[in-house]
Amino acid sequence: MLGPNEDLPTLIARKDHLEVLRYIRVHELREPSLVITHGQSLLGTKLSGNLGDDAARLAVLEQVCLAALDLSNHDLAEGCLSQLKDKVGKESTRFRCLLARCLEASADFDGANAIYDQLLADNPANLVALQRKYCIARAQRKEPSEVIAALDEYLGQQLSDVSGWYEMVKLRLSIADFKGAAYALEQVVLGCPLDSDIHMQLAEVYATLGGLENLLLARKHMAQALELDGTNLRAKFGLVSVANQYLEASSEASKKDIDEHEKLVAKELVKYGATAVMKDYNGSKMVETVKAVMDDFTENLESL
Amino acid sequence: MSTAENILLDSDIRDWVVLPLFVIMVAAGLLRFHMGNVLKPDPKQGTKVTQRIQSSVRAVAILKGGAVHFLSTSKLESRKLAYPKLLRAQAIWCENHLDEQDAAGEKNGGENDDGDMPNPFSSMEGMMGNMAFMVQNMIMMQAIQHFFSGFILLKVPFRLTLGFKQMFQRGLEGLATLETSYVSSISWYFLVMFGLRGFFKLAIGSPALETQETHQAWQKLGKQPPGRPGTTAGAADDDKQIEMLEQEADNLEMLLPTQFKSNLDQVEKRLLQNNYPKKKSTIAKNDFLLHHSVGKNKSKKN
Repeated sequence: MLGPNEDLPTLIARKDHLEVLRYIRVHELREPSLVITHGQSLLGTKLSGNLGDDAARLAVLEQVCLAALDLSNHDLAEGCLSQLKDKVGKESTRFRCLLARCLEASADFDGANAIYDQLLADNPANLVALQRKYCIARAQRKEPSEVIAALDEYLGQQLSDVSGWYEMVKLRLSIADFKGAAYALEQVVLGCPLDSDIHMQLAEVYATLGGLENLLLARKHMAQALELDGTNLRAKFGLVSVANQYLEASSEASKKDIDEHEKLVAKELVKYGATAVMKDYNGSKMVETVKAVMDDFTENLESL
Repeated sequence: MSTAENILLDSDIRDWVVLPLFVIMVAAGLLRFHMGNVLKPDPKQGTKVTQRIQSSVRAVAILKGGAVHFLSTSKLESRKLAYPKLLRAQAIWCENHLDEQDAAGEKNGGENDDGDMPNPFSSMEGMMGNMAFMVQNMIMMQAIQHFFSGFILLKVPFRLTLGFKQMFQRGLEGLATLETSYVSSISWYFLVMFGLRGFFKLAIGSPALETQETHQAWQKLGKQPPGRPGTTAGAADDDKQIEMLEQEADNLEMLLPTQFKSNLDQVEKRLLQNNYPKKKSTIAKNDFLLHHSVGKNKSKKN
């Protein structure tokens, strides 16, 4: 098993191919060229070598196959598939999923869909098949309603899948359904609360929706993004913009909705954001342009 | 009741009983583990209903965790109202799904009979592991009582009360005045049996990475590993799980706080720190009592 002081460079330097491949699997890194080099060093160019451990060999073959698809090396992928078929037989569910992935990669979407439909007929609870069917629908650039239906099918079975919800965010943004995107992003926030970029995205969506309450929430999430990661430059710009938008909205709103305290907070936020942005651009070529933009925001603060 | 001297036992007892018993039990434990691996049946198919229920409960439980402090109070409140409804809606979906399946099953004629028949055997497979352990226990205990009884085995280093005499000095009824610390072989068997659990955790260790990955892959492919309580697929189990959903919905309504307080509300204060504008309180503006002072402590009101 991997010890605490074994990270990737050490393992590579030691030429411990099996452990390198395991490390990549465990940490879910996307390093296809690394996987292929080490896989071929371990099992030979045609991947026909033998390890003592059967299970390890099959896992390596699967990993190398997926890496080959990543680099569009279809010959290598076919080689892996034939090696696996000899060992596990073509009735194995995991093998059929891998085969369908290879068909997807070579753009044979109908063939892949046929295999996934067959898998779902055998076992309706097959999450991998539902997930890949959504990916196929997205790759084929079907009608948004169809793609959303496919994603709904998957998310309905796996409500706690954060990356699934993030796919929903991207879909909703592409059809300009900002309310739906906001809800999906909130689910992502609940799943990954410490990610500064997610808070920033959520704030941007709230700001796009507009309205006093949404802008208040946008302010808070931008502030949260900056609290989590003080170097997030986009969040700094975002803070200035969103706080300013709040001030403009409150100046147009009716008297009863305006909260004086919140307006003061917004003004402070604009000033804070502007100073933070200027600090970042200090000494760079863009400093004059950025200063002009920031002054635009901060000059009219007293009048708002 | 402290006797200053200890009874001297024959060293043959140690050579022929204590150590062999220990070795036999270690060997039996390893054998049981490996037989379990070899005889393990293939993973069973999980149902769509089970999967849906498990993931709903997991998704809804996030409201009880720490992530709520990163979402605004208004959204949390609306989720507090919506999530129990979501769970109940899922329960209805599952019931409809099961009804549809039954209807489809009836249309297809006798195909359901195949599903009904193996049920009694499938529940047995799940219990096989526990059964093996119990059977082995019974056999070993009988063997020990038959072969290794009638003599004192060892003295445990701690005092025991008189109540344990009956349990630990099985074959030694004649020696009523014997200290309870002197025990027979059956107690050595119990001691070792409980002690070896920790030893086996070390010796066998965690399963290989590939096995763990296979288990994860099974979950994603919708199969359930054998020997788990949810594996017996049957209408009765699904109904029970739907009941569990309803219970979860009720629990959720009870457990969630009546008023969410999210840390997100104060995030601007934390960000701006000293620059955060002070809230001017308006409560005391018109209160005449606060603006008057009595006697010597009369201070200027600004």
